[in-house]
Amino acid sequence: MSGLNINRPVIVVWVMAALMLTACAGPWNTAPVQLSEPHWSITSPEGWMHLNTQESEMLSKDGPYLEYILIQSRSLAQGFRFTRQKLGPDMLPHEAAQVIADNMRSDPLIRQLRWQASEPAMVGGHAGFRLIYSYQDPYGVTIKTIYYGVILPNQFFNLRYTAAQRYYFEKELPAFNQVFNSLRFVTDLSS
Amino acid sequence: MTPQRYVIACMILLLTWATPVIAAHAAAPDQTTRLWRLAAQEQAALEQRGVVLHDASLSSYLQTVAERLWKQVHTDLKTPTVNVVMDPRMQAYAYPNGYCFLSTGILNRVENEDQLAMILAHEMVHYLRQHTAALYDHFQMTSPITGLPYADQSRAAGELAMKQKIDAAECQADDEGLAILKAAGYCETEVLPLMSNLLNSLQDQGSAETVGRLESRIKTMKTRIGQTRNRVSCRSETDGDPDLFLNHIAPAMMANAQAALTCGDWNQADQSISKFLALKPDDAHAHYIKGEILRRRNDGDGKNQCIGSYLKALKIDPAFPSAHRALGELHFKAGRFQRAKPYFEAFLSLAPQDGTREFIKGYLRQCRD
Repeated sequence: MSGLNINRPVIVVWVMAALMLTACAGPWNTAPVQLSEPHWSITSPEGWMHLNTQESEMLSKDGPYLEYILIQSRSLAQGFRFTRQKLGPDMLPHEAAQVIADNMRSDPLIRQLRWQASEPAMVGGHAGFRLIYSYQDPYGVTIKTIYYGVILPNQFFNLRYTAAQRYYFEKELPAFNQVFNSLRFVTDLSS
Repeated sequence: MTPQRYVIACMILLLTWATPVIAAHAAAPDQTTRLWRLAAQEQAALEQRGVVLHDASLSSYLQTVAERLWKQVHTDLKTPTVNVVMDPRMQAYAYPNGYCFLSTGILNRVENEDQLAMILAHEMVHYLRQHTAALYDHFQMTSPITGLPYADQSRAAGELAMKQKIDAAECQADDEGLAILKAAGYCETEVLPLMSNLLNSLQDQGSAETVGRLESRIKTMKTRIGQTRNRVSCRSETDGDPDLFLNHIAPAMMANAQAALTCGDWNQADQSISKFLALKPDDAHAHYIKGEILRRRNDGDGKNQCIGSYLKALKIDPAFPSAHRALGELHFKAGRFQRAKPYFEAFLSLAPQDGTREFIKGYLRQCRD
């Protein structure tokens, strides 16, 4: 049979990427070399785009449906979308990891959720956790995520890398590791 | 989810017990085939989400009740297959291919076999009358008023037409379901307590529209109950032993407690595990879950009470690893490192494959330092 041998999920990925890039064209800007917030800073990968939302900072190279890095610092009191469990200041890293995992498990649109790792990790010099998981989105595309999280005095900081498992995840993993290693928290995190 | 799959998922979810179709005609054969395929895809998606409860004894019991009811129905359709999904929300729905799904949340609110039979009989009528297919077919047809396909009408007109169809289907499912229930020898007097119970639960969840629909159905049902002159004496398989029914559905209560715990519905988690423990007070896992609910709810004296539950779990099964871990964590967080140590060590020796091992090893190192 002649013609391109492209299967359906790949087409879906490209169409979604095109749609999302178009939809998000406005607020996306070239990522600054140094991305800083009051409590933390990271070094952005070269050639990536940056989107600032109310709740998080997002970086992407090929469009967020293909890959993105999300950095978020949120109040411990803030609730989650799919679970009513809350994070607390006295939680051990794995207890916090469990709340994040339970929120994922309660998402009705996620299929074939597979946990590949749940382990302790130092996040910006603080004891936190690392989750690695994959799932199928509603379009049947397998997405893989590395999620670092840490409970800080008044907030929950998380830094995650999410990408289409096929091709993109491995391709931009070094860029994410570079971002992760560049993470710095300011000295006084209590305010 | 593709638009077509979304439509069928919406239709099926609308035809649930808790949220309240029927046309005299069935969908065209090709559409029926299409619907059945879409239904099979939705069921596969539930399996892929890992939310279908696989418990042989529970499935066997539910199927026995379904078969007793189905014997009263004269049809060539195959006997419905009853499945359970681990979801604390109140849901019961029937796919057009004969698969009925009950959520652990609705099973948690059912008090006896007669009430369970009414829910199943109601869902059977949706399947028997192919309500989903009829609804799907209806929205492919052209409205004689607007000349447009029903699906292309304005949103308000479409919603109104949808509601009318659904209400008619729910009414038929209640009426015919009640007749099947009685013919199978179940007690119709249990129907109103069931509906009141479901109504109370819905009010707690704050769904005003659904509450209104159920109230209206209760009103209609009150006029139906007890009208038959020659009532058949009713008898369920679990008559004579009030705990027998609860024993049958115990796996659903445990699963519901865990599902409610995962989504942080503390009250329902506590209610389910308390019912389970009343039946099986020597179940170490249940005491552990009770402890987890008390600990994670994190209010009042829960932190101290949870210790009692974990200790009970270990008294029943000294080799229950999660209870060792939980007690170790509580002591560790309180700075009682020497007391935490033996629990962490026991956990690591008892659970060589557990995903949290690396965390616990780290805490243990800190205890030793």
